[in-house]
Amino acid sequence: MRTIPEFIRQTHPRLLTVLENAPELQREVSRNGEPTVRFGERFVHSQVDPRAEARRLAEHWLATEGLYLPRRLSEGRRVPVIFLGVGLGYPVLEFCAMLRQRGLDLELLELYVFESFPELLKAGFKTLDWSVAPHCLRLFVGNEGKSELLQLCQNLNAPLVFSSPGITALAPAFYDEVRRNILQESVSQRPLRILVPIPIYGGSVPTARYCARALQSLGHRVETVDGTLYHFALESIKSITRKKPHRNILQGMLTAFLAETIVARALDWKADFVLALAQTPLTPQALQELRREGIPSAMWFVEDYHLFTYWKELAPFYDHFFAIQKDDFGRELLQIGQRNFHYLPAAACRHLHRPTELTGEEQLRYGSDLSFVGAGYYNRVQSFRRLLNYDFKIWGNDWPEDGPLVPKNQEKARRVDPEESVKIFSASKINLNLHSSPTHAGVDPFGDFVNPRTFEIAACGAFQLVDERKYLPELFDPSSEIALFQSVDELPAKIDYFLAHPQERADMARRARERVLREHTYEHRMKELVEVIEASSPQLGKRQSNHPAELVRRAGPDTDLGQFFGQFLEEDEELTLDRIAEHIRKGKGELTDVEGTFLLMKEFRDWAVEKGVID
Amino acid sequence: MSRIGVVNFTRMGDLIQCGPFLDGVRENSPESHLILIVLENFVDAARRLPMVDEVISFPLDRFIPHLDSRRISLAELYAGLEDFATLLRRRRFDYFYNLAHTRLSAALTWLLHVPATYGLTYDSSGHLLVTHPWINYYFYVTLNRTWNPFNLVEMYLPIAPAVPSRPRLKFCVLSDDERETAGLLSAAGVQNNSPIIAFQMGAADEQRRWPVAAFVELARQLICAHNAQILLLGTAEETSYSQTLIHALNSKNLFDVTGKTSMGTLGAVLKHCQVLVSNDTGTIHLAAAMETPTVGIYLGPAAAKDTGPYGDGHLLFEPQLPCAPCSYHTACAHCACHEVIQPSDVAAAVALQLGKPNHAWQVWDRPRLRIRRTQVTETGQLRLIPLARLPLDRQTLLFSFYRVFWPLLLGDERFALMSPKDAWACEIRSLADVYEFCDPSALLTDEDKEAIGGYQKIAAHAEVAVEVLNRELRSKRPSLVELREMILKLARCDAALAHIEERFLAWAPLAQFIRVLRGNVPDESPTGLAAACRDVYGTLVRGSQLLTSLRNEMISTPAREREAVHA
Repeated sequence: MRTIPEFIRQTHPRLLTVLENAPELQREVSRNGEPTVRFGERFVHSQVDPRAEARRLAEHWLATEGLYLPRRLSEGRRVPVIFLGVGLGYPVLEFCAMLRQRGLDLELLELYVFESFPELLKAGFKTLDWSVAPHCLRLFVGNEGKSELLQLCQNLNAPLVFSSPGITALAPAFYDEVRRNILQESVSQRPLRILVPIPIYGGSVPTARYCARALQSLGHRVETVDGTLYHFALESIKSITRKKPHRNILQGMLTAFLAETIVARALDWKADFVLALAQTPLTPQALQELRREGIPSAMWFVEDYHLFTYWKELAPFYDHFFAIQKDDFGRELLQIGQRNFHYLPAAACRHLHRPTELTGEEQLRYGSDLSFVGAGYYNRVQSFRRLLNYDFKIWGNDWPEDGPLVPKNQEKARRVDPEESVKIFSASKINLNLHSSPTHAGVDPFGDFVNPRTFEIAACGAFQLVDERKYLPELFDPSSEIALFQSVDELPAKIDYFLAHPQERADMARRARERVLREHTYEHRMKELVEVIEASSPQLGKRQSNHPAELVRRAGPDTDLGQFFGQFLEEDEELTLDRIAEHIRKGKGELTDVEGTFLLMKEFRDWAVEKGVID
Repeated sequence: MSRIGVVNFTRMGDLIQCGPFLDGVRENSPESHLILIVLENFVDAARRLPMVDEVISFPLDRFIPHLDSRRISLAELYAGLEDFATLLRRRRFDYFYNLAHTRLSAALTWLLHVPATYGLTYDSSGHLLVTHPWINYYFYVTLNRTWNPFNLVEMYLPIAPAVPSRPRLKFCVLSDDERETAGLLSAAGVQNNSPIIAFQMGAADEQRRWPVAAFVELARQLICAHNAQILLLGTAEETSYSQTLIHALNSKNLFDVTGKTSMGTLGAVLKHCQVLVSNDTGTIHLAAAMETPTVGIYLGPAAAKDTGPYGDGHLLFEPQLPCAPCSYHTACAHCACHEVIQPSDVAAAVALQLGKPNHAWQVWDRPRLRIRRTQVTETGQLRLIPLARLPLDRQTLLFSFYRVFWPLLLGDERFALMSPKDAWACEIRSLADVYEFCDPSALLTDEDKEAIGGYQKIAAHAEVAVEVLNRELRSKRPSLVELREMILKLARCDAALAHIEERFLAWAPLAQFIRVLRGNVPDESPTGLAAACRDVYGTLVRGSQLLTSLRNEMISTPAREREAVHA
C-alpha cells in the first residue's frame, strides 16, 4: 500500500491530521485493473479505465480552459492553476503527465488542488503514486481548505480553473460556489440574451417593461419587441368592420404577424430565451418554431387563471410556465402537458414604486383619507357604496357611469398610468386594496394570489388596507407589515381606526416597504425565473463567456492576446467580433498580428454569412 | 529553392481555371515548391492540379460551427486561426499570390507577412491594399462586365511572373480514379460500342439552367441519330433532374451516375466521354482540362466570354437577346433566354463535335442565337469565333479595342515593348481572320470622338495636378496647402468622369476603373493620400492618352491592314 509522499508531509503538516481523521473508503478495482473508489452508490472514477478517462479530461482542459497554458509555459511564464475535485488524484496526475510529455516545465505551474472530501484524497494517497506530482503542489481539503483557498485566490492573478465533472457532481452546489468565488463570477460575466416582447395593450404592458428593466439591472442583455406600436392597428380593425367573424380573422392575422415578428427577432438577435407576459401575442405555431430553433420560451402569467382561461391553448407550448397562483393550477397545467410550472408571485418595480415627494398642488389633487386605484369590478362597485361618507377618491376606469359612486370617481374615471398611481399611493392616508372579483359582492373568500398593487403600494412606502388572500401571509406579515380586512362589514371600523392612528400607519408602511425591497422586487422575481430556466436548460449554462475579464483569464494576462482583450475590460460587457473589428479599425499605429488574426476571424464570419453557411 | 504560396478560395471551376497561371509561376521558377491553399471542399480538385506540389486546406469544418455560436469563446476561436496562420508562416514563403479577391483571403495574406505579395492584402493600418493592377481590373469587372473582353484565365495570367509556353487547363486523373471510374461505368452498364455523351444538367442557379425538358428532347435526338449512350452527371442534390429525364425518356441508353462521382472520378468519367453538354458549371472546365469536347449552354447571367471553357474547339451557345446576359442576382419571372436554344441545334453541335456534321444545319438562320467556337491563341488569349463568317460589328470591334487597351495600360508581359500601333495591328489581323472585314472607322461614331475628347480634357486637368503632387512629394518639406489643393482639384475630375460613365456606355470602362482605384485610396495622412491620388490620376492620364492613340490607330490602319490581309 502506498503512503503520503514525503514532500506533501513536509509542506502540509496540518493536512495529515485531517486525513487521519477521515473515514476509510471501500476501494474497488476497475475493469482494467486500476484502483477506483465508490462514494455511496456512485463510482468517483470510471469503473472501466480511470486513467484513460482522466487523460480525456486533461485533453479537454487543454483544448478549452487551458488552451494557452502550454504556450505560456513554453515561454517561461508562471501560471496559477486550480483543480477542483480530484477524487483519488487521477485528473491532476494525468494532466501533469501530459504536460511533461510535451516537454513543459511543471515547476512554472502554481498548482492548487482542492478536494471537498478528505476521505477521497486519503484513499488516493494509498492507491496512486502521488510522488510524481510537482512539488509546488498545494492541497486544500474540506470546508477549512475552501476558506484557505478562497483567501489565497484573492492574490492570484487570473488562475485557470479545471473542474472534474464526475467528481464535482458529488457536491455540485458546493463546488459551484467555490468556482464562482474563485473566478469572482457575476452575471455580467455570463449574461443571458433575453427577449421580452411587450404585449399590445393591457395591464401586462408595464409588467413586461418592469421585467425587462429588472433583467437588465441583473446584468443580462435584454431586447424588447414593442407590441404597443401595433395598438393602433388593433384599434383600427374595429373601424373596418362591425362583423365579429371578420374582426376575429383580422385580429388573428395581426397576432400571427406579431408572433412571427417575435420569432424573427429572437432568431436574428440570437436570444437565449424569450420571456412572455400574459397577453403577449405569441401563437402555438410561433412557440413551436422557437422550440425547434432551440430557444426556450417562458410565460409569466400575472393574471387570475380562473378568470382568464386562454392559458389553456398556449401553456403546453411554453417551455416554462410561471404564475402568481399555485396548488390546483400546477395540477391543471400538468394535465395539459405543461410540466415546468413554477410559482412566482407578483412584485414591485423598485425604480418606479418608491416614496415620492409631492408638490402642494399634487397633494391637493391626488390626496384623500381613502383612495382606490383600479377598474370597477363587480365586487368593488358593491363594496365601495358603503364608504360614501369618507373623503374617498376612486381612480381608474370601467366604473358605472351612474349611481352613487359617480361623485367619488376622479377625473371622469379615466385610465391612470403607473407614474400617476405612485403619486396617488403616496398622497393617500389609506390605500384601499380590494382584489377584483366578478362574482362576489365583497371579499372573495377563495382569493389566493396577491395582486401587483399590494407590492406597489408597499414599495411606495404607503399604507394599505388589503382584503385577506390565501398567499398573503407568506409574502407579508399581517401583524406588522400590512393591514387586512376579512369582509366589507368590518372595513369602516378599520378605516376609522387607522385614520386615528397615523404613527401605526407609518410604521406598517415602512416595514412593508422594507420587506418589498428585501424580497419582492422584479429583480428578485427575475433572478428566480432565470435560475429556474438555467437549471432546466443546460444549453444556457454551457455558453462560453466572452466577457473581457474571462477572455483575459483564458488567454493569460501576460500574453499578447490577453493584453489585447485587456483593452476592453472597462466596457464590462460581452465582447463581440464586430466590436473588436471596430476597435481595430479605429485604432492608431501599425496593425499587430493579434489584430490581423481577429480581422481574419471577422472576414471569415462575414464570408460564411454571405455564403449562407451560417445565419 | 523558393517557396511560392497561392491562395484561391473560390469555386471548383475557378480553381481549375487558375491552372495556366500556376503553370506560368512554375515555368518561371521550375525548382520552386508551389503550395496551393484552398477551401476544404476543393482539396481533392487541388491535389489533381499537376503543377502544384502541396495543398493546404483552410479548415472550414473546424471553424464554421463555432463562428456564430457561443459554445466556444473568442479566445479558442482565435487559437484555431492563429494555429492555421502559424502553420502557413512556417512554410516561409518567398512569394505569395492571392487569387481570391476576398477580404477573407486579404486578411490571411497579410498575416503571413510575405515580402513579395501579389493580390489583395492589408496595408500596415489594416486597410485593404491591392498590390497588382490586374486585381484592380478584376474588381472593375465585378462592377461592370459588359465591356470585359477577358476570360477568367486571361485575367489570372498577367499576374503570373511568366506566360506559360502552352497555356491550357490541366487536371491529373490518378490511377485510383481510373480504377474507380471503370467500376462505376461498368456497374452503370456503359459500353464502348457507341458514343458516350455526358449531360451536366444542373447549374449554380435556376436562371443558368437549360430546362430538363430540353435535355430530354436532346437525349432523344442523340439516341435516335447516333445510338448515343447518355451519361447523366451531377451532384447528389441534382438527382431530381436525372430522375425526371430517365422517367420522361425510359430508354436503355440512359446511364445515371449523378451523385456518385468525386472530383477525381468525374475527371476520369469525362475522359471516357466523346462530348459533354453542360450549362455554365465547373464540370465544363474540368472537361476542358481533360480535353473532352464540350457543347456549352450559357443562360441567365452566364456569359461565354467570361466563363467559357478555356481550350480549343468547344462550341458555346448563347441567346442573342437585349437582356442577355442578365445581371447577377436578377430575378427573372420568365427566362426568355431558356427558349432560344433549341435541342435540335444543340444536337447538331454535338454531331459536329463527334465528327459527323449535319450539313443541313443552317446556323446563320438563328437571329436570336449565337454559336461560337473557342480557340486559344499562342499567347493564351481565348477567342470566341462565330461558326458562320459574319461582318465585323461595332461590339466585336470595341471588344478587340479593349483587348489591346487593358494590357497596354496595366502591363502584360505579352505586350511588353509593343507600341499601341503594333498591338492594334496584331489584333486587327486576328479579327480579319474570322470576320468579313470592313473599315472600323465606319463603325465608330461622333459620340466616340466626344467621349475620348472628354477624357482628354479631364486628363489635362489631372496632369497638371499630378505634376504638382510629384514635385511636392519629392521635396523635403511638401506644402500641405498645395497638396490639399491638388487633391481637391483631382477630386473635381471625379464628377466629370461620372458624366462620361453615364453618358457614353462603351467608353465607361476607364472611368469605372478609376473609380475602383479611387475607392482603394486610404483615408490617411495628407502625404499618403497625395501619393495615392498621384498614382490613381496618373493612371487616368496614361489611360486617356492610350484611348486617343488606339482610336487613331483604329481609324488610320484599316486600309493598310485590309491590303495586308488580302495579300
